[in-house]
Amino acid sequence: MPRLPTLLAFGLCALTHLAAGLARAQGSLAPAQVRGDSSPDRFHPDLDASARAHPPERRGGSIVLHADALPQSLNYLIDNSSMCRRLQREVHAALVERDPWTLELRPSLCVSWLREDALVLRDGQRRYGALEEHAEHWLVRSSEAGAGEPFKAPRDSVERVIRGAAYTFELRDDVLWHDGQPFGADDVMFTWELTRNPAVACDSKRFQYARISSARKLGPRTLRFEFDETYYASLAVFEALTPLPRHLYDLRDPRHPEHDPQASDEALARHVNSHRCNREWIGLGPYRVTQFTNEFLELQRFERYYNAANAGWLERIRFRPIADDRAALAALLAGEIDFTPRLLSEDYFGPATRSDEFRERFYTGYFYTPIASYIGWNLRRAPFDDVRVRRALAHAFDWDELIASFYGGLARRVTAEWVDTGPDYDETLAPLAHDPALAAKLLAQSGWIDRDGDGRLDKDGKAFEFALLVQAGNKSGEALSQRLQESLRALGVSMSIESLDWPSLSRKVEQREFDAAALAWVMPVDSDPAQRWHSREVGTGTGNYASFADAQVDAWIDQVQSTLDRAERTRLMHAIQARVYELQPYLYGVSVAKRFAISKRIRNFRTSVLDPGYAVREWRLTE
Amino acid sequence: MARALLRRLALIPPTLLGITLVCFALLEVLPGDPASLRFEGEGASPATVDESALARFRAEHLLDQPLWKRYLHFLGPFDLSPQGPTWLGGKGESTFGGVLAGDLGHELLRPSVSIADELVERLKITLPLSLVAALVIYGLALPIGAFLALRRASWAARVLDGVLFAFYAVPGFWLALVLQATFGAGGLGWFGVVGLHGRDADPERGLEYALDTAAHAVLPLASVIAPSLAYVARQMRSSVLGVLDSDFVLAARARGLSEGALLVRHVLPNALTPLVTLAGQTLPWLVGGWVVIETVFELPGMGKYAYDGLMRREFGVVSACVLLSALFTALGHLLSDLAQAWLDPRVRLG
Repeated sequence: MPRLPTLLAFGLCALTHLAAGLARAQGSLAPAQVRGDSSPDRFHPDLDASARAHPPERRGGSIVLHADALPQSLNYLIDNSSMCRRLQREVHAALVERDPWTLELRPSLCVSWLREDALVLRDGQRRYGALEEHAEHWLVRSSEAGAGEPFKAPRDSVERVIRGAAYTFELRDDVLWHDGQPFGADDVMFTWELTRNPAVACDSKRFQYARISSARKLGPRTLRFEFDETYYASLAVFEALTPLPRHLYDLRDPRHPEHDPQASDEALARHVNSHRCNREWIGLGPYRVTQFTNEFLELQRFERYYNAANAGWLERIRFRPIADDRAALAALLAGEIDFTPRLLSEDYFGPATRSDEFRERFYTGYFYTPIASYIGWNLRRAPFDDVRVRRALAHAFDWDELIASFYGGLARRVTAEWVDTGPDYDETLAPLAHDPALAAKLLAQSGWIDRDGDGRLDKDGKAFEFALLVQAGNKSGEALSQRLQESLRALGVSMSIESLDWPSLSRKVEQREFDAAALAWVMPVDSDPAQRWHSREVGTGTGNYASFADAQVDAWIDQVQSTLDRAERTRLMHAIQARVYELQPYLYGVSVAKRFAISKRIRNFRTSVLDPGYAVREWRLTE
Repeated sequence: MARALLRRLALIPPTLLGITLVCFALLEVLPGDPASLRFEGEGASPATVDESALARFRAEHLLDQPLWKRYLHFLGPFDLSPQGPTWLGGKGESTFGGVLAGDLGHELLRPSVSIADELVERLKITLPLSLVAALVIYGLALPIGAFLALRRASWAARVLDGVLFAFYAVPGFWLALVLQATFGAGGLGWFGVVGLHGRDADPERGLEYALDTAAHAVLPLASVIAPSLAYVARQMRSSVLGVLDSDFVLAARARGLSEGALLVRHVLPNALTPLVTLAGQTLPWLVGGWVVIETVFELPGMGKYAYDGLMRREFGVVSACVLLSALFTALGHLLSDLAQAWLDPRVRLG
């Protein structure tokens, strides 16, 4: 699949179960609204859809998967790549994990968690527990054994309420690191302390961890984390806090081979940042890393994995880096890989996948993951500071023609960068129609007309011309930019195309040295819109690339941060989307289906909204 | 001779110095910030990263320092980073570093990876391929070139010359793609088209592993060999033709020397002299000439390392690759001069 330049999304995935008061997790919670078919093997040609008959379940076998690149490291604390996160699902575990089918968070390394709210009293005290709001007072029911009567606080003694103020995790007692050492609360505490060490290279995620104000070990398998503010995605922080084995990473730990009790924070950070285990990974997942070369990454099933019910079926998995998607198809045909999620459109629809030889061994299909393409306008620069111009440009382009001709129909228009199959996406928001006449009218209203008869619109003696930045070699970007150029030329707007390599393009966007840029967002299930749309993020080096500022949107974003009620949060998210779409800081594009080809011997292939769109751990082989 | 050799050897360090300095200056003007790239990725972009973290990363890797300081740090022998000696304003955690201290540093995006170690790993792939390619090129090009010169009027020579011209004219990457399509899985399916090993490659399987590696090396080697073979063969042809036109060949013929003896004793030794120069100049190609082919065939060799390093703004990686390539270039030229002086007494090292 052609690669879009991806500036990846901020924010954490939201929780759907944050009812008021005290909550104890006991497995998966009520499913969120997830659209789309994720039934097993739905594209498999041998599937008897009526009977849903599947081959018998058995463990064993090996497969090779295509990866466009291997990660720099397998330590997700310091490597922020999507490939690292995908691999972590197989080779590591966190306190909580997200179910790929319901999208809910569920216990992983913990048996359960206890969530408490807190009253912050005017005298500085905090009372944790389940809160009950009454007309004259608040009641706090503590979760501690023998706590006695609930604490009663008059309303005027309460400064503020923190929802999700504390989480207490009870860890499993049967978890082993891949080197056989037992996992415990010390490992999690050590990792959390690392996130507080400014020299540890986890800066990309530190903004998430920083929301935890304190952590305590209450016992060998009990941990408590506290938050100072209500944050709708507080539990999801623990999905990203992936523990490191203290006995291998902590220089101050007596079990460490280079034990140094006096090691400084800086020395410890350097040790962590450059540790050999960042590649020779020792994790907690159902697969352990056996080889990590420049040619492949090999995983073997870890027999002592703690969750036998979700321990994977395949004995060995190899990830093979192939940067070129056409070469990946050749490798598939040669039997060197079993799966590629990056089929080119011309191969998906073309003869390469229609031959008898191909169909005998493989089949194809597609699925959508949360990627939304867009053209970001630089609102700091004229004429993009005029909403009529931005709306005109949106009306000028025929997305449906692009979807039909370039994507073969396997793409859908989006009106926001939220996950378009997730609960917060506003499906009712209709995309702006292709209407060149309306576009011309809007441009004329904003003063852009052809005064000198040269075929180009002009205003104040200046012609309407701008440059669109596109990542070099990106076929989607090239197709879009060429068609847009034609559409705009017909209107009298001159657009030049500037192809840049990713570092150069990224730099220009960060420094706001651009008129327009073709980009894409890869979104988490629930995203925090603050970095993209809040006016405080206007400036260089921030995520508000368009330099968008709107007081109403700011207010809604601020509200979202502390809104735990799912329905209310969805309402606010929809309001934000509608307002942003109305003001068109982006020319919203499409969500493109990932086209895959897979060996027919692999069964139980299901597609998910959650990146990467499938769960290798569930795959099994027929023979 | 010895003095001349020493003089030539003494010229290598300043040459390398100049080349690396030019490389550094060129990298300086490249747009793109390694610090920003370091913090991009899932869940965040530099936008979510505290500016102080970016500043710390830049300071730690001297990215906020002027070109001359970064260059001296790369050159060594003293570590000019914040961990360097106290008398240079550092924390005293390390004293030596840089090329002169035998330390090429670590990658920016993979801090646990030593550039020198990675170069060795990459050379383990590129060097054997290059040596095989060089042997095949010279093993075939010399007799082919001689044949083309000696039988230049024959139809076989004309056909062969045309084929060589075609090989010489086509770009290497295009030939690679054609070979992939023809002999790879989409075509005849004879050879592997991606990487150097098959799906279940295991070095412990001895012969099977070697055969698998060989099958995967055929197409990359063919892509590299074909244009170079054409070039060297045509050079050989010209050289032999030049010698055949010489007065001393005419004199030898006049003395009644047989064609075979003339060829072996007089023509070939003289015709080989320029080819020796060419062979010496091939040395840098052994490490630097594989960028495109390694990228097309997804071979994790040194050429791909340099290319990926450039794309990721890994200045240390690019500088190290350029340095190694420059070193091979300088040594190649020296060796070819030495060989030429040895073959032709009239040539003197200056």
